[in-house]
Amino acid sequence: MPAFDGSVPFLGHGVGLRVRHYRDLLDGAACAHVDVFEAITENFLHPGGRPRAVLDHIAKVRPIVFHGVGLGIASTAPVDAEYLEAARRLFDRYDPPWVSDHLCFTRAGRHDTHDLLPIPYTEETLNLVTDRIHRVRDAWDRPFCLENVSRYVAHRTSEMDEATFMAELVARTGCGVLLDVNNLLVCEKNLGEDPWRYVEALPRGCVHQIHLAGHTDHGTHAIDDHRGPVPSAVLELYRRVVARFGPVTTIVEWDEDVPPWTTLVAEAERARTVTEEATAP
Amino acid sequence: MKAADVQALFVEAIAWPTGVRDFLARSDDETRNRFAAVFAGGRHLDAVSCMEIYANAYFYRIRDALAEVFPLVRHLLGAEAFHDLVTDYLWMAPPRRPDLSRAGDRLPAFLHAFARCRRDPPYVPAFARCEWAELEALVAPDASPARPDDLAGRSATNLLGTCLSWHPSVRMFKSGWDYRAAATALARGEAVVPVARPGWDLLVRPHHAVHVHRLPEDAGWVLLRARTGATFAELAAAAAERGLSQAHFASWLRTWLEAGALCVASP
Repeated sequence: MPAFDGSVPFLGHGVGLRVRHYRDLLDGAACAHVDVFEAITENFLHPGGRPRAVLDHIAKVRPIVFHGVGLGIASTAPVDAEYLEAARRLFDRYDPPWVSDHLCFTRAGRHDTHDLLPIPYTEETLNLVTDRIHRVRDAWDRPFCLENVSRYVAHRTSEMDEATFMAELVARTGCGVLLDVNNLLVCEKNLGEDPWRYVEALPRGCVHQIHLAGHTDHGTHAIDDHRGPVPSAVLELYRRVVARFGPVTTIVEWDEDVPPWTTLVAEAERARTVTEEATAP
Repeated sequence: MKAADVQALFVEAIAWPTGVRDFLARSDDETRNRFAAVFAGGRHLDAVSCMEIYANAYFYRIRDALAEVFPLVRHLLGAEAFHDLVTDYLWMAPPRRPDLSRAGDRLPAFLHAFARCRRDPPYVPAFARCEWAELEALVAPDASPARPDDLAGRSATNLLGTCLSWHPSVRMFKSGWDYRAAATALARGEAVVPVARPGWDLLVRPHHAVHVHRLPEDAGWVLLRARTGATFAELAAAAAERGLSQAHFASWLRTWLEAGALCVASP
């Protein structure tokens, strides 16, 4: 594995684990084609069956980081204790170097929307998320990162922008950032936010991981659908991010019309090439 | 507005079954004013259009997830009726768990409870129960199933006292409709013609794939005894009570063992 001269291990370039590739990964040497895998936490909470068999197989040869979509860390509704416990058991089994979820809310009361919903960036939500991060880290006892989400609506009641909010969270809790470069560009298209200002607001060393993916531009707005190869605009911003922060563990996500394994691996290789070019002396 | 109120308004608006615009049209002035005070549009879309993006994502993500779990129900109802079913289901039983794959956990009960007023064909609730059970079986805890050879070498005394229990993946239902035949036809791309046939649906995942078996009524009652563990002698007695011959019982036991439906619980 590549080494990283810093407190956060650099695990290399990898892909998000998807069901379509289970057979490739179980049958052959495909696991060795990438440096690292990212597994969606909620897909592996159950104790048996083929999903766990795939993880067991991968874990023998490559590191796995877990990425959740269901925590809803900014939901004012109480944290789902059963979910926290199931995730803890999963993480304890595979011992990932860090785990992540999104800076968003997912539910109101007991109604879970299964979506990543934007929050107003206020002192009230900052205090809420700060407390929740401490709770989550206590429950899971391992480094925790938050990802910036794609947003389609803005909150008039926000008292600061998301970059400032995220940087303050990092300062208060020591949590890491999973920087989704694609989401920065989606927010630029939808809400007119400056992606580079976001990057510059983050302290060096806090970005544990990067996501690369595609989106669909509908003219009036962009949808973060993880469809298709990583667009050139995303790779160009990624190049600048890596030049600023140095090599960062990078995962390519592809969820719509998931391609054959070799196509996905080629995307991870593109990211590796960009990192090498951007960090060359 | 407090964060909790903002979040409640957000979810209420995007989960409204006829869209955000209709939600606002049917709301009172206070709600409309709160909405306008909280949400701002983007570069090219007004706030309502922006929120409709979330509303569509909420509905279609869950509808597609349910279609994956309930392909037979979707096929038998048709795409439009399934869409309407999901609309009703989400309104009456909004998801409560963070795991999207569990979003359908109450759909079989929902179909059963509203069967009369929904006027679905009678086999739909029964098939929904089996499709949900397939998902549960798929991710049930792993365990080594007992094989016929595991029992073959035992002495008669030892065999009679051997306790057998269901494999953790086993799900079994008494039903008047043959789920196995319908699911098999769908998987093969053949015409699905639900067949009324009393019996039991036995679902089991001995390794990675779920297998569905159809048991006659008497055999199902006997296997049910092993749910939480029963000795070989107790199962044989249960078979005799139902009028099954020893040879018939032995034949069924072999079938269940070959299916991977039983584990040796003790000794």
